[in-house]
Amino acid sequence: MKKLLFPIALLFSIYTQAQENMHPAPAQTQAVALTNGVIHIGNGQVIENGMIVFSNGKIIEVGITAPIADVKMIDLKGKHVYPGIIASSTNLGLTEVSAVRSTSDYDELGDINPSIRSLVAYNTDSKVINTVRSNGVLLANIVPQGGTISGTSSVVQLDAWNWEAAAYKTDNGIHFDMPSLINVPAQFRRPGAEEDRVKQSLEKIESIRAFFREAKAYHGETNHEQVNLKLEAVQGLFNKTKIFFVHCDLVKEMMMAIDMAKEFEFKLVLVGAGDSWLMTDMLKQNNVAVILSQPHSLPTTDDDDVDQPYKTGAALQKADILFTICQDGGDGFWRQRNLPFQAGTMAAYGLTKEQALTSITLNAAKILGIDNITGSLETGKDANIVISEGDLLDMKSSKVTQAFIQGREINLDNKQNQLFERYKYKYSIK
Amino acid sequence: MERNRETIGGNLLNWTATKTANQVVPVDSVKKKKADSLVIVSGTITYPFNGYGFTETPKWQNILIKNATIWTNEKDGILSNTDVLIKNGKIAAIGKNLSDAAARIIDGTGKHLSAGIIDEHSHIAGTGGINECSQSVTSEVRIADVLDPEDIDIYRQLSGGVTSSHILHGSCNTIGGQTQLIKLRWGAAAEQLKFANADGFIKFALGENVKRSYGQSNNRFPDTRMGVEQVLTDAFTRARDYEKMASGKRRDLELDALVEILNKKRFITCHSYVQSEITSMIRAADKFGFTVNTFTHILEGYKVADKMKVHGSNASTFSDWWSYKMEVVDAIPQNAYLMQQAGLNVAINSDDPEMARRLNQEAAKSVKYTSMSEEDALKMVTLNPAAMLHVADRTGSIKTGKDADLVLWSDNPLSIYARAEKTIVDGIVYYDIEKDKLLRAGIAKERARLIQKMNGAKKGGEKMSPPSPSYKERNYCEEDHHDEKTFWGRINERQISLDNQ
Repeated sequence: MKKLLFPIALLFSIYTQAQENMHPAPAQTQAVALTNGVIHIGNGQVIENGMIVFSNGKIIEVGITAPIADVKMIDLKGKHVYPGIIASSTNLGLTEVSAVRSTSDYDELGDINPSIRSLVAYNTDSKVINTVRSNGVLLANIVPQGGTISGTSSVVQLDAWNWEAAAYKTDNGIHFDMPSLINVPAQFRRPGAEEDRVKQSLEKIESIRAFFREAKAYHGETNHEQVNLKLEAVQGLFNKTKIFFVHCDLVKEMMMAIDMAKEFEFKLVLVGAGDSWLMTDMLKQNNVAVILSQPHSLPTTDDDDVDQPYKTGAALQKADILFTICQDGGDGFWRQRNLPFQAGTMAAYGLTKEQALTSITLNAAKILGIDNITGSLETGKDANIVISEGDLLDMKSSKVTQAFIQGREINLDNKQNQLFERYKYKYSIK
Repeated sequence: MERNRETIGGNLLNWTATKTANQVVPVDSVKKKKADSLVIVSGTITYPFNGYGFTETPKWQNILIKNATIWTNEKDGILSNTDVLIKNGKIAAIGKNLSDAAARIIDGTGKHLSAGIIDEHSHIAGTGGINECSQSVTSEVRIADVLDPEDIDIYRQLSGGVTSSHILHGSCNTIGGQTQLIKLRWGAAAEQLKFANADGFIKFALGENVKRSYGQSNNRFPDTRMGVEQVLTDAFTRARDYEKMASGKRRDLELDALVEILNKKRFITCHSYVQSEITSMIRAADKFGFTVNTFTHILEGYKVADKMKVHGSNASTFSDWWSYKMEVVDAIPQNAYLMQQAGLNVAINSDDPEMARRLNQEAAKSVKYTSMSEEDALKMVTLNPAAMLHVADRTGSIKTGKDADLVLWSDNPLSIYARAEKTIVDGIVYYDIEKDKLLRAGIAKERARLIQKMNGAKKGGEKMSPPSPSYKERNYCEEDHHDEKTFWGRINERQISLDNQ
């Protein structure tokens, strides 16, 4: 009888709370076994009618079917089980209403700001976060976007009291926004913009190279007369504890990024990479990983295949390039909830469904340097798990019913659901 | 030849001229020599003249689609293993085992056939600026005058199953201008894009864009929603006075359009978000005795759906956009469903040349977030927008006698895995996934030809210049395109967001 009452009580508590009263879930105290689900491991494997057990926040068994003692059993009855989806490049939590400047903290002044840290401005109480995780996105790489070297990103988990509790991988990389290497016809230039933008960009890139050379020399010193915060911040690039994320799209820009990474022996990840399908050989030869801009984009030129952005993922997969996708840009915060459907589109254009899932789970974890603890439903990893009634990558069938972050069952309610309830009441809709 | 009534300095003048000989054109020997040496090698002429143009205008033919799953949007619902016969651009028959010896047979086995997608809110196919921001009332300007039939986004949207688009002005002023409903007849001239015998519409806008909230110093009235309400009241007061004036008055094109609204000969689609402004617009319309045909975007429509129902409006909204500006912080993905439950005719629109290619999947989000049926969801991008644009008697469903505006999908059209394989407008296949492959091959061939030609020119010592992409303006009326750090933002210095003009 107690078991029956529990879910009813839980539902009641959800609908009587405003989002302000919702709280992060406490640490897992009892082991949980999810049974009879279709388990999508995240590495391409699928276990039909499988079981997954997690305890103290970690996955301890996957795939067995025998029941286990002292475990809370949850019968999924054919529902789908997935690893938590990872948003690889986003300003989630750094802005609340993008058109209202006072709510935005992602675009700092200044040009070379590697010491800027996104984590310290990440707002765990953003109303947007709950709408994102209720579609299955449980982790996010929070990326600053100002200047040329924008700053340092961190990966957070999306159920926390504050940014220190949210931190999942602190200061994982430095972001470089490559100046554009293409000229713009006069009528499309901003007023006062340089006529020869390429020349200007090359000068800017040279100044960034000079900065890294200075940093290299600085870190070669045994002691410094004065501490330089900017040079200190990029040390991790030289010893490869930090990733060099370069945001660019055109072939020349990506070649420039590869060249820079070679000069300084940085670990390179391209972000955006819209035209990466044109240079897969070079990306493969140089072992470059890619965080591809949203597949739901228009083609670059009028003559490109009309579905090129949909199938660029498949081109990278075919060339055996490690890639994930993101929803970048200033509106890339609320749109993260559509990340599963962006992956679904890639599955309609050349990837298998499991490859599409891998791209936004295990691949993303590998690229962000967190695949030792998450990205797939494998023993020893964090229990970051999403359960859906139907295919998570298809909006026609995606209905997320439960989700766990580090084994904690998170509240899937959000401000929008609460407004929905409020107006169902108004119109007497059941 | 004789002419009179020519005037010089205001005086009439008669004059006469008599032909005495044919004009002798002297031969330009230099020019002739040059012409001799010029070898004209041209590529194939296509309609429109770009990579995806057709070598000849596609013509309609009788088509028999066999054995498909038919989403009729009519009381028959979804019919499995059914045939549809298209004759003379119209749907001629729907049933089992149809035959027509003269028809082209398309095997629909395992595929789904739906009515063509209709986008109630689009800004494609316009030449440059489509936002007349100079004053708050510009009802005289017309999209019909600036249609661009060569816009590649027409073809791209055909590839996503769109057959009709309602092209609107931006939202920088309260009364924006006269809209144009088009059919996506790729390759036709601008005039032929227009949806024949369709009622005239006009774009209105309320709220932040009209107030120009994002500029540093707006000095154009209005600057508040209080002012917006007065702009409306003043405009229709002037229109009513103008209408009452005696004949022989100086014609005022701005007020003519407003008088058409008063006389229910022109219909409003009104960009709007929050409940206060929706109610104000309804009350202003009530006062002057007309109905706001459509509230477009309308993200808080769910809060006042009952009032909109009483007033008699339709609603056209986004599936899930929110939080990009202050007036959309209460937007919810269940909006379409709540408005539908309150008895409104609801559509999902794009306002976005990219998203317009996936409107069927945008509609599917209502299935995800609510208990809306799949059939009702698909109607939100087909029959419902047809009804709110007053063309449901001709398009929007699969019914004998209606225009053959149809899409053959590879899968359930609400699925993320569905691809449009054939998009048919007036019985003509304008997008065919197989023919598209040939067009791509043609583009590759043409590119190779041009590169070879350029290489030849380079070897011949011609002056070289650095490459420059073919830029174009892309129009949105929403603010949700802060693309400065995305691909388009990086390569386009000037992404056009109609809000900010």
